[in-house]
Amino acid sequence: MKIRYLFYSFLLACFAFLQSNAQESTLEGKQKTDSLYQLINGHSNDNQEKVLLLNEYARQCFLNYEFQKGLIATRDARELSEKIEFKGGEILYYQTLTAFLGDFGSMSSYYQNLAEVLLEDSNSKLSVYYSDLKLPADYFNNLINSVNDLLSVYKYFEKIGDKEITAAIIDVIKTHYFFQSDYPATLRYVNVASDLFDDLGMNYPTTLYSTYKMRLQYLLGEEAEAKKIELELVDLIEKNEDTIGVIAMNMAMPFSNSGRFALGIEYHLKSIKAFKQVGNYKMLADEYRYLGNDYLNLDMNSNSAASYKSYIATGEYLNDSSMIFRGYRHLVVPLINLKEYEEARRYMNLVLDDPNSENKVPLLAAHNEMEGKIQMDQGKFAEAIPYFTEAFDGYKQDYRSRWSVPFMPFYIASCYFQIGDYKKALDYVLLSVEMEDALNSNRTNFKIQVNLLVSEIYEKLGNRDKAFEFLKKYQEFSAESDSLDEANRVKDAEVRAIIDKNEKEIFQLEEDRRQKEQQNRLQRLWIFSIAGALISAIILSLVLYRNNKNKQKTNTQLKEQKEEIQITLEKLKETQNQLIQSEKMASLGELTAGIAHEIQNPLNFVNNFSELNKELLEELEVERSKPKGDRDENLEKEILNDIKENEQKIKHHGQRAEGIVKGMLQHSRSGSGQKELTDLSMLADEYLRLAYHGLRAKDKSFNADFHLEIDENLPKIKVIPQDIGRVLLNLINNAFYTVSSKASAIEDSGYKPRVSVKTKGIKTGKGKDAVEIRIKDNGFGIPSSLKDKIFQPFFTTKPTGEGTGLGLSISYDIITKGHNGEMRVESNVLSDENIKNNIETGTEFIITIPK
Amino acid sequence: MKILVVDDEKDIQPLFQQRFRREIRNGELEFVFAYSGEEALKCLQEYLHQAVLILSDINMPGMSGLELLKNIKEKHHQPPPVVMMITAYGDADNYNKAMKLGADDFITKPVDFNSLKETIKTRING
Repeated sequence: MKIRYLFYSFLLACFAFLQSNAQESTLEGKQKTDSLYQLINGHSNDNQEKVLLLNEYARQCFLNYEFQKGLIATRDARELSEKIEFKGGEILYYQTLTAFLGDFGSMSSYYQNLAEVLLEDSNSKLSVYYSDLKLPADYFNNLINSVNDLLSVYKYFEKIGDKEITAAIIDVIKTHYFFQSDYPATLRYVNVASDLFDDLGMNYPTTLYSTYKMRLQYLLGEEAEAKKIELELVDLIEKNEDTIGVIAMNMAMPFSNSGRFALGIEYHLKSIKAFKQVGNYKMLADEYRYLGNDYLNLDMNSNSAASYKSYIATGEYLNDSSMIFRGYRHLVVPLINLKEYEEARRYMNLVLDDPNSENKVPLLAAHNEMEGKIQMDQGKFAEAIPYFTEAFDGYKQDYRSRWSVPFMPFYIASCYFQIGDYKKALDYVLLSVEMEDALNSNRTNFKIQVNLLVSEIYEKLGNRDKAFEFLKKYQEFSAESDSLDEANRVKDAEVRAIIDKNEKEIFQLEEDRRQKEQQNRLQRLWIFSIAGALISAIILSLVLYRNNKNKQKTNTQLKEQKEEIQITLEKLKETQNQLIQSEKMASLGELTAGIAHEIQNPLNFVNNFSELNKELLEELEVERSKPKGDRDENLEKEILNDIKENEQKIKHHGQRAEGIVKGMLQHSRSGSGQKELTDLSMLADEYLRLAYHGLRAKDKSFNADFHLEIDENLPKIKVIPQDIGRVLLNLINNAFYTVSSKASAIEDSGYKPRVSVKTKGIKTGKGKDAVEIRIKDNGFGIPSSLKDKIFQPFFTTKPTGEGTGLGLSISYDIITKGHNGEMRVESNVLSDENIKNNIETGTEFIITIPK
Repeated sequence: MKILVVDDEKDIQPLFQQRFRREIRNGELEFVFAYSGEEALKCLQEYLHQAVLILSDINMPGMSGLELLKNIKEKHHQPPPVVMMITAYGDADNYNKAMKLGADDFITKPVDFNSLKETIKTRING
């Protein structure tokens, strides 16, 4: 498979694939074009041969960076083959465009696919016109850096009105500006090309360019515009079941690239599902890789590693060794984060032996970065420095690794800082700042880390002013990151709500489609595996072509729909706020019943012991009123002692009741909670009892075994206690809900409903202390088809009116966004396999909160 | 006469010991305490051949009071010991279940110790 990226993903740039330095000398290239030119003139009678030669001439021109000459020849060849109705000419034309685009990016894949489909559709005699393109590895870099030449070629083709070639040139120009991080210019050219594709009726490129627009508008902060396109694209997904895979993939990219990884993952998963269904393994492989990137960015390292492993497995299935090796390179990163050093080293060594790569420089740099990180993780800072220095030198030599470069001086500075060489640390960290600024990046998280380090170094060096200056920068970036998080959260929730609305429908479509598929499976599999994306594009083009005929009508309809969606959105926002409030009140209601019972017990004790004390005092009085000789000194002592002990018990149970009331007040207070050191075992105990008694009070027939297992040495950690309490209450309530539904569904079967809560101190992948809380039930379990939906807002399986559908989504936000933790679910449902393997059904929620 | 009190609240022990201070001092009653259903069963094994009266809470983690009751009435001594249930949830459902399983009495919290004393005394003497 040819290597195609839709975009660079900057985190992965460090592993960008290799370039070879092989390039034919320009002199030799010139001779070739000259002799080709003579051949063309000599074949003036054989038009097919002439078309072939013109294309070869064009491709040779590109290699000499004579784009105007080359593209004119391309155009001449196309017109000639149209005139003589020569099918082979089309294949040649598409491949020449692929060659011009440098076999890189979506448009290049698109043309390559068109050529491949023509080849498959035709009889085999056309295969002589198809060739495996072999481009020098630095062609693409040189191409996008020839932007001045390209701009003049663009003007030429615009003037003569060749829209398709003009659009192809712009595709390169926009990539150039994108790589320069000049987003306004990129958007300008994207708009031009998008209009051209639209005029040409080329629908796949038009859709593709819509996703580009959406992404750029997010980057430029034009949220409203971006949202509009997003909604249109959501609409497209809904309407075109055949193109779900491709569109979902292209929609995931902008989210992934603008830091909204959760939504990116959602679309990638959608897309994976679609590609699996149609058996499009090439696209499927790419999707696994993107998914791995997104998980990595969310620090979900084991998921990331699993995705990369699926990518490698797909590569093995396709027998594509460059894919397999690329997979190894990616896999190394999450493995290092998981501290699986041996495995990471093994894959890294495989990568270094990659027979496909001729340029080992970036690979060796990656290898050195890995070794450096391993040393650093083990606290060997002095030993880490030479590795990072090597990596720094390596990455600097490789254009595609430019996004990795600023990390190296930062790592070096961190190491010097740790070993107390603050002067050197300062030199390197300032170098890192400078390089990052030059990239004009928006990697806020990295900037936060770098500026904090600069400030700390200046502080150590006694330069208070500078330390303060960078501390301020650090705070600015942190605030920016916080507000970004906040904005993302709201946006994500809105879009999710809309997607959910359509989910059922899409699911139905997919189901119908699956059945259809089975009827005609072999044939469809064959077709789809040849060109899934392309066929999607053709179908899409048919649909839109028909729509074109009735454009006026469609436009008004679209406008109405848009307005409708806009209104729905606003309503949704309002309702969402109300629902969040009512979710809070609902869980308060559940609490009060439990609290009433929990308070009853300590109050009984208070009453009893104080009554007892009264009796004891009376007894004491009686004893003291006796004549001196009859008084029993020992009895008096005993009574006094009992009074004292009872007094303590009264106080103890009074405080117990007070604690419960306090907890209730805290729970009802709105989210202004402060983080404080909290014993999560105690919190878990408290809420487990509250949940139990709450349910017990509501439904007297309810009974379940509950069990708390605590880690005696659990470290106290800083959390917002009422928020975490809310999460616990929610999860425990759900657990009790499912076991009690199950108990009433299968009465008298010997089923014992059971809920257990377990706390444990653990270390995260990065070696930080963390607390893990597991909430487990032996209820019905969650079917895997629902597993990825349960954290979405408004999702509920409870009967209408019983659940708001917000509990889990709010809990998820509290853990992941409020406390930087993780929340995942493991579940087994009733199935033949589980029965056979004696696996009990039920669900376990696992929360991890870092210290 | 041994009285086995089963409740997961540990302060039940000093409470009973003081409430029945006189009876204990006179040697009229002897109290034994268990903090779970499971522990109660172990205790019963120990006092297999002695007359025992059981006072048990219903809502406890692990084996519930009702399960304990069922276990005692089905599998234990002939004649089975007197079992009195004490619970904070005085609902009809619990009451019916307890009676069906053969409970000898059903007391709702907060406990009125004076009437409890009398009930116990009648049970023992009657």
